[in-house]
Amino acid sequence: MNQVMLHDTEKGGPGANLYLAKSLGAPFKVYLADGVEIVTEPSTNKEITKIKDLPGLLAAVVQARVLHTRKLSGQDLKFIRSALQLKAQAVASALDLTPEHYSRCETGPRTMSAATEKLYRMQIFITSFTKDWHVRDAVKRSKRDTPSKGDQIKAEKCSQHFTRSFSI
Amino acid sequence: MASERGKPQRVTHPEEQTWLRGFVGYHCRDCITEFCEADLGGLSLVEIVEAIAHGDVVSSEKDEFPGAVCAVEYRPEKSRTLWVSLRFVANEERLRVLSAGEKWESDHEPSHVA
Repeated sequence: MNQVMLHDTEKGGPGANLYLAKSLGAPFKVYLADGVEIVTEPSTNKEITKIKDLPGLLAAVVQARVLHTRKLSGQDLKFIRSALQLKAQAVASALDLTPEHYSRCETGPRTMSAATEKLYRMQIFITSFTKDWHVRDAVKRSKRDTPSKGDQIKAEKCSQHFTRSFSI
Repeated sequence: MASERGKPQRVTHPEEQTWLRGFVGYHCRDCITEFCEADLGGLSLVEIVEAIAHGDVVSSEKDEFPGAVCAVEYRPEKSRTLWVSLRFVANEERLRVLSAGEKWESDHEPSHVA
């Protein structure tokens, strides 16, 4: 998975060698440490950005955001849902909210209760995690092989993130 | 398949649609997405991925290499339609966004043509 950093402040960034991914459409700053290449196309002289595994990158950005403690805004909710290609009705149903209530949370007039937001973060964390190709690949391989050292490390990291962020 | 308003819609380019949805469907680990920021017509990459995942391939032309140049349309809201023109190279798992934009119900022309 791509390495992602989120940044809260408007001014400055965390480092010079990081790519600021403005075109992602996230309502917060996203810096990418790898997985991005910028080349100039000789025939058109255009600057072309090449991103490896864009859907996986979006899932990684979402995962980083839901682990960040700052309250989720309506724009964040909209971005997360779009990035994971989820339908509003499915998200509302998973949270036991009416579609109208969830829609108002996305558009601004309403906010989620603390308990609902915690449930939302947990569900999104798991959803984004299962979209990581490392995990999908490991699940496929686990049906025929014993888990590799890399798979075990990945599972351990996920468990640590989850426990640190969501355990009582 | 059904359109956004529930009306059945004929899929005219099923192969291309399957390929493109597979591309954004977390199945390719080495897939490359290429774009020039000026060609995105104000759309974000999230909107483009959403359009590919849920939209319809409305036109397709075979290219000289394995793959095609396709146009995708997606209507996230009743009055707003996103359109994306793409070239995909199937054997390299590479997708190039050629141009993109949005049009509103009252518009007859795309808001941006790159």
